[in-house]
Amino acid sequence: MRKQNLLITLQPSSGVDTARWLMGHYEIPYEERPHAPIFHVLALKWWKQGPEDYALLVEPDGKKTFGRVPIAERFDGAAAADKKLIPDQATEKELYDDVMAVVNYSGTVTGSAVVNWSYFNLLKSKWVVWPSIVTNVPWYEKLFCFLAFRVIRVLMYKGLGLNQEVSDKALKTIYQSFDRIDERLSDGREYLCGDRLTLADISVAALFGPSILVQGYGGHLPNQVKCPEYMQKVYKELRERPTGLFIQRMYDQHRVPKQL
Amino acid sequence: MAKPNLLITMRPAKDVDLGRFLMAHYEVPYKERPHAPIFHVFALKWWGYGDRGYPLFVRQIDNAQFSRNGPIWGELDPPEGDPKNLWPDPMNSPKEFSEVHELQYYIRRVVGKSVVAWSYFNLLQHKKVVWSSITTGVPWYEKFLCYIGFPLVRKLMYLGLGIDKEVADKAITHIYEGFDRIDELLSDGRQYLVGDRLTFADLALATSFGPMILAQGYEGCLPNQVACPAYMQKIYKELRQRPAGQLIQRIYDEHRPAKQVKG
Repeated sequence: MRKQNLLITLQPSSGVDTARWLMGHYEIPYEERPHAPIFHVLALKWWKQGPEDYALLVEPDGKKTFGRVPIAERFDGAAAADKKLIPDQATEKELYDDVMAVVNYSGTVTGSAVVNWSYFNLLKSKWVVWPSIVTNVPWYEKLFCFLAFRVIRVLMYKGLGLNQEVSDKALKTIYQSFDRIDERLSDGREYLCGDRLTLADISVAALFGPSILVQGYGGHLPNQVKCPEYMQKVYKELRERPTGLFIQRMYDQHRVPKQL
Repeated sequence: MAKPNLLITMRPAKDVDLGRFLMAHYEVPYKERPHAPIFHVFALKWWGYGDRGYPLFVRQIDNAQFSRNGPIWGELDPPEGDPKNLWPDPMNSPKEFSEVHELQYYIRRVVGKSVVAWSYFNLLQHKKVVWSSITTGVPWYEKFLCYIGFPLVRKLMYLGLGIDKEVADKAITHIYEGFDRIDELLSDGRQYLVGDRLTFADLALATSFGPMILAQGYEGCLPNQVACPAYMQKIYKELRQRPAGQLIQRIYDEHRPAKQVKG
């Protein structure tokens, strides 16, 4: 019987990076089994899960939990008071509602937009996106990606419904999301909800993170200087906004360092 | 078709990134010919320069050659008053000139040496971590020789730079002292190191201290933080959040023209 928790992942996913962050935060040891896009579907199928059920946590006793919020809920209850990320629904209802509103917004609205804009543009260049999709994945996935990158791209564009129009719309949504978070931060607050780190901060940092190429992201984001110039301009601009500075601060101050 | 200006470089060097920054700032188009460490010595020798002669700017219009950053900015910096000027005029603005001169020397020649020592000593222990920094865009045979002879390249670099564990440990203390000094300067809320505009001191800070925060935009292809050992990550994270770290990234984000590095 395995003694280690397993985290089955899609290497570059921002939802997965949220899960990695949570595991580090709650100090739960685990072994990550990263997969390249498309191949993650097969890996999840092997574990009898659907294609969207990542990050999938498999505990030694076989208990499975997938997705960033369920993984947070799995460990938050038993966490020490200073490690809790989800406010108590009974005693801190207002704060709880606020945290979950930010968590849901960053996942369903911004997270999707960041995914659409990033994949559509980064997948145009194999060498730019290469470390993001193949770092530490099994050798046969790397080999297949190398030989059939175009097929992977077509499948990802189809699977995510990506095209230029979707990408342009996504970028607008990203800017609107930064506007919203900038506004929230404009009163000088240190954290998004309340006066302590919550799931809202981690969600915004990880799900918005690829739009500033945040350092510390476990999904191996590309080096900015290798990206096309029009993307670099977006990264530079967003990084210097209050939300961009907040994202990097969250990674620097609250993400447990781990060499990948 | 006209020959392009050339910039002969050693890919990861901080002074090379300063040279790139200067060329971009002064809007001088160029084609970079990057070399891996050690191999840059042969390339510079071919052009008639010593092993520290980088970056070497070869201007196509008159075939003039400018080795190292001093001659480059000496040739390209426009007079004070021009929006592209980076050096205050020593006659008109002697105080600002002295401040820029003293600061850039301290940043590049005093603390910069420590950044080089600490970074190379630690990063070169991990071939995969440092790989893109030393081989991006270099000729295929340099990449091949680095691949098969990496331990030798590392040994030669350690010998050439005179670095070992003791030197690296001392270097990190100097680096923190450097950040302390810059933080203190910035504590009055200033936006730039000297005066109220971008000067050579800011570019020196960004490029010489940039490797200590893994600045995005540094064209020497710094490693991805998560690939680095955890003890290095802690230092990067801490320094990045200090006022000096924030200024470094802001200088790259607001003043470094975007350019895609191929290879």
